[in-house]
Amino acid sequence: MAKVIVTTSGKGGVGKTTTSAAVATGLALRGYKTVVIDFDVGLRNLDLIMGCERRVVYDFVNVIRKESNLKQSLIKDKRVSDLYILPASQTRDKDTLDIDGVGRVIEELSEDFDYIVCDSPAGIERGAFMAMYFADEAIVVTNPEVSSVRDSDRILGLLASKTKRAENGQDPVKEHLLLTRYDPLRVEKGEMLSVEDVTEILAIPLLGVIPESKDVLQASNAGCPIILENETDAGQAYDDAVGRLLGEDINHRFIEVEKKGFFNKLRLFRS
Amino acid sequence: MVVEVFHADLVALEQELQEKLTVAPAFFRNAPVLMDFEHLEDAIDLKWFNDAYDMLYMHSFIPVGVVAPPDYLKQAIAKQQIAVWPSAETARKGNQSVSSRHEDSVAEQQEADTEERTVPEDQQDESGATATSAGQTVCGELVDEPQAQPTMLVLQPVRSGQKVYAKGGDLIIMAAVSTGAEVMADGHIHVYGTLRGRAFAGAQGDESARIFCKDLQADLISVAGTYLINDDLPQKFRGASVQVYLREEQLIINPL
Repeated sequence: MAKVIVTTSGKGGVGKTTTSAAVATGLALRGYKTVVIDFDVGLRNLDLIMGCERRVVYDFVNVIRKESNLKQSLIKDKRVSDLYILPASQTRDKDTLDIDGVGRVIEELSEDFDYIVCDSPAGIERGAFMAMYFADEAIVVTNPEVSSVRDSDRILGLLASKTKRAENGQDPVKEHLLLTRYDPLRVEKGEMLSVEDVTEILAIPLLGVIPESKDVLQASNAGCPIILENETDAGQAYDDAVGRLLGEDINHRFIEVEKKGFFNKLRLFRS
Repeated sequence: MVVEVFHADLVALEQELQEKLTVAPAFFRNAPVLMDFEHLEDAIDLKWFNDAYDMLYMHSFIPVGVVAPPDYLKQAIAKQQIAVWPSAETARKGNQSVSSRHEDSVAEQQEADTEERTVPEDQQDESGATATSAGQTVCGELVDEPQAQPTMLVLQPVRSGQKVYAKGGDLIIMAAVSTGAEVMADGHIHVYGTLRGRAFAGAQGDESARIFCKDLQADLISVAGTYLINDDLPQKFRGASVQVYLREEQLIINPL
């Protein structure tokens, strides 16, 4: 039985798709057979971030409507074995997602895969609801600013009441907080909420802190999940987060401002 | 819907009713009405009451109850299987704008989710449209709760957009109440976490209800309709462990 993980946030532009791509890739790198599904029907982006936009033939909506089978629709990643992408349809809208159809696809995928990562669209409407409904775990992507925190809070309320697990009275969806676009320097100046501020308000376990980085945009434009750029801070932070998702105990990094030590100064001087 | 009766002149009353009816005849057809005698100074008798009843019925209203009838008529009216409510005066104190607002939410809440005493997901879109008729809010305000309900205990955080209503009793929350969340109780409210959302104690008018919280950062606190918004919270009580209660129609905040 596969584990279903939803990446969600409520607010748009906080890094859900970047996170879905990175986490799915990270899980596959560690040997778990993983599929990532784009639930953002009508505004599909995941295929771009994963760099497979030119290989889309059939999509998620085709599978739901039984116009194609899974084998035809899944796109195999060229870099990482065990990683598959199920893209969204760009020409339909979210009303085409129905709960029975989505449930059937997830059940079918469960037989073959270890992890199913559902990339939720922004908002709290049908697309987001479908993405979270079957989830076992949720990665709540939050930026260190008040509106994002409030939207995440709203999403956490929905996860506790509007999922299959909640409706069937099973164990609740396991919630993880992923703080993205974090800039320790701005936190120190008081321009940004700190890790403590956000965890205090949302009161869920911290999965990771992804530092604000130019590399993320660059990787997205290049169609390469940031986690594969393993020399970047953001890539390493995502790798840590995937480790923690699998239960490893890894210290949090990139939370403090890097102190300019003596050797750093010296190096600066020499260059 | 409530018909407030100011005088005992049936002919004039019928005329006034007729004027209202011509405005929106369909809206009033078969509408259940309460007759409110709160402001009636003229003396009335049972025959007058029966005539008034028939007159309302002729105009296709369905009289279902009376509010604050003269004491000597109460029994006779009750015998005719018409509901009798006491005066609404006690429940109407406090700030008018906020009380009407929270009555709406009470009615909403009663519609939305009273059976299962769990954290209900807010359904503002649907219920906001339905639960606005005057009849509903007035009923929500007047219904007597004969016996106390068990205290409602919430262990999970109450998130933005969620509502919790402890009907007929107290509410204890063992976690934080987020900004944008609403917690309501007909009795007291205890929050053993940070209170950032809105809290309504004494939601049906109980002025002895109190709010207790470990960390006051509320968007709004209200006891029996009298309220304070975040901007008006005294600086020294922000983030403090406090109780809030009503005295002489003023909210008093005391440190614990």
